[in-house]
Amino acid sequence: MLFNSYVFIAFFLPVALAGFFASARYGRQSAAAWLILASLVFYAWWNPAFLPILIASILINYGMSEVVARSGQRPALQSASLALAVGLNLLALFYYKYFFEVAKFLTEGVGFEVHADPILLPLGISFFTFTQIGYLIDVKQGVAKERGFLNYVLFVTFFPHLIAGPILHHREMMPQFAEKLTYRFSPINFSVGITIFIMGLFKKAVLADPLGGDVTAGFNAPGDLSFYGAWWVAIRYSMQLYFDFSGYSDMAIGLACMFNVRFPLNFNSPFKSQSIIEYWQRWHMTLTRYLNQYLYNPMALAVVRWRSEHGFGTKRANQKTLGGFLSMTALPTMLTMALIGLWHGAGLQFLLFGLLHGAYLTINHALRIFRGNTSEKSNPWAAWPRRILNIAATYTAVVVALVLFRSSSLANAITMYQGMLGLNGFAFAVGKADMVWLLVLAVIVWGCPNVQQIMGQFGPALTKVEAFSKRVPLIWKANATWACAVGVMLAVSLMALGGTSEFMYFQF
Amino acid sequence: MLAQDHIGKGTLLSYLATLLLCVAVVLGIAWMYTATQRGRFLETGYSVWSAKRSLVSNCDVGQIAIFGDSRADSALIPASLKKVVTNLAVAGGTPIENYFFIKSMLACESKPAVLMLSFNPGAFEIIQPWLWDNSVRYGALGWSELSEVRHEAARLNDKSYLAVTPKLGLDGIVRDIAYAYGFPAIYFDSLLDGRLMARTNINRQKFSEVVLARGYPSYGHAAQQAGARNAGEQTSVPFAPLPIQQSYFEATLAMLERAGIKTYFLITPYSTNAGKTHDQRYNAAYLAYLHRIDVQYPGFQLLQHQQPVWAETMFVDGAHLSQEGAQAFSRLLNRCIEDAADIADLGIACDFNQAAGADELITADLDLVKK
Repeated sequence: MLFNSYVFIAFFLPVALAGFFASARYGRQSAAAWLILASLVFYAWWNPAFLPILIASILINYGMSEVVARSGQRPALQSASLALAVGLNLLALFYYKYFFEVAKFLTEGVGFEVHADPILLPLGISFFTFTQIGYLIDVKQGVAKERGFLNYVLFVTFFPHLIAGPILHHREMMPQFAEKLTYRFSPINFSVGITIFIMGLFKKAVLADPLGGDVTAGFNAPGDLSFYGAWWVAIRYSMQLYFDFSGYSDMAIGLACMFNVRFPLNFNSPFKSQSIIEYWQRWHMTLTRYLNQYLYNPMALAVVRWRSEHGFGTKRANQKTLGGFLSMTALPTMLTMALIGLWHGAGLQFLLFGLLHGAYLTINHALRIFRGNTSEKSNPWAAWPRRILNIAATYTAVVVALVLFRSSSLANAITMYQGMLGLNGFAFAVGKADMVWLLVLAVIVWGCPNVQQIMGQFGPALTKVEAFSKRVPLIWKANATWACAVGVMLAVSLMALGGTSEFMYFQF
Repeated sequence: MLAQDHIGKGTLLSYLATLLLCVAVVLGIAWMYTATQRGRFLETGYSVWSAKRSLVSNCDVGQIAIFGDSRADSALIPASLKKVVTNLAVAGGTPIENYFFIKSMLACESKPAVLMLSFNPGAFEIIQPWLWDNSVRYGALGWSELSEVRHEAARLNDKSYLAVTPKLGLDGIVRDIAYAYGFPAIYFDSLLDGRLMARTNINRQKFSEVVLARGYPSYGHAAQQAGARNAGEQTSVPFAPLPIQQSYFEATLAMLERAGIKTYFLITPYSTNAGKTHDQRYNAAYLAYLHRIDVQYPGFQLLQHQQPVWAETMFVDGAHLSQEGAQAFSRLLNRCIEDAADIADLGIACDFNQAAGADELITADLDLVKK
């Protein structure tokens, strides 16, 4: 089921909410059971065949996590059971997400025939698999304290995050599910939650979806695009993805808030970033956090250990040497980003997308490490132009990489790049209305506070965001002006839902 | 979660109530606007439909009325025919919609002497989302018609009706309610594309043109549409008409027989490329179905016995005739009309595929295409 569908808004959400708080009168367990049931219905709505996969994944992972937890006295057994559990998860992920593509590559590219039929990707498999792998590792490390089955199932299935994230950490969720107040209806949380949800819905239905037509047409026939056409399509896609993901993230936070649960922030105006490092701290934040915690850091640590064991330095000064930089920063960065690329899809274009961002990050780290921070202190007059330049450079780099992300194949991406380089001519054919609309979107992206900044005083997310500006009084209040503004947004969104489109991150 | 709980319950309740009130007001305004001002923002297809409906509601259909789908819509130019003819075929039309359109036409005192029906085989096999996105959205059909179809589908145990998902993304009875009562979401894309009222003039102009052309909306010239070629409908499965479409097709024929109106069925041409995608057994089954109906209903006659296949240059997209193609096709029909002693005996004198001049246009019949 989609958050931006009539059945969700008019039927599922009211029933799920009413059932949750009504069943809470009979105890926390019944409320949790209701929410699990509702979440399973939510998950099975589109294709019930996926439900057994989710249930099997939960049962196996929970069972394995208990084995890991109870074998603490026997480290070898514990490590082996953790490896087995993680291996099973990755195997399932590989089978559903990559097997067909790999088989196709082996058959068509290498000539080694492997028979495989296309496999339908279970919704949200990357998200619930990653969530559970994180839990398994934390159990092994003794970090996971609350291990009740019901709370675990609720943690994995809670519908606001089930299909497209954010990727949750049990430490931030389990205590909330154990908290009494979570099960008591809160008018303020409901009001804040529904307001955030509506703002997200508006972003998705009104701002993101209408951009899709030109984008699809452009990426389907990149050879027809001139220099301006190719950049136009690439920029429109960046805006579509931005508002789509931003809208989804707001809706997830708003929904959780209605149930008195706070999610970590997943999206924090990434196009305002002044560097690629900052961009990844603001874009899909929970994925970055997850991969940092479970991939980048262990890898970097392993490199540091290796260097230490082999007599190479591991201090900050050693990082400034070429060898130190390449091994301690560039290598883990490139590997992590390659995996981020592959996490999004099996094609070569996704791998290159990851590697390109890896290269961006490596260059960004190199500038930071080798050149130091030269910026605003040395010349305060240059601060604003420099900021604008940094933001523009970062955004351009992101748009260039997104071409790989959106293209259906590497060949199409290359054709698109040719257009962006002007190799297909310079014909300009963009309507005035479209340009004005893009300008409006740009003002929203770069000139307005984000939803978290508008609603920040009520702490709707676990992560705090910096205030937008003290001079801009765009702070939500429960007054008639805001009610009307949000009401208009909801009404327009409800009208725009005709021909509901999926969230882009559902495919991952 | 513990948000800052410093806002009173009353304030929050009035916030939520005001929010809901604003939603209701905005939706209400949009509802009224979309119900009464469709010509200001809807695509020109709406004015084509409105023009055709106005000809019916003014009981001005002439001696020959043409009903059917978009291929019939594109194929016959009333001005090129010797009798007073009205082309009332509509884009996406199937036997269901046409039953209701013909029914409303029969309410007039002056009825046509002859009615021509024309559907591509696919029109019998599915219920098009256009039933809702065009017929209902344009205001030609409403709740009572949809209810009638739904009950008929239930009687026939035809599940296809409830399963259709038009652009709004809903199915079943909720879909029917949303469309029949004009929920503004069904107009949202057009409101955006038509910038609320930017299509007023173009719709007025199109309406006048189509009324003046007695229902014929030009699909353009072949040369202009060179990039828009497609292969037409794919027909790889055996011809399998839906019970609900058969039911409405036969109900239409029975209704016309009762009204004493002679009915002819015209098969419009496909382009050579589109013809190649057609399975010969499929076409044979389709023709056999029409022959069976021909035998069953004395007032109904099939004008052709094979699928005409015309040169690619006569089409805008492989299935719809260009203005030049329509003129050629209308010329053929005209010869049939001229040869007939009485307009109601058109079929006796007319062997449509063998009509004089047809050889120069029919580049291949089905057998040749398959060979």
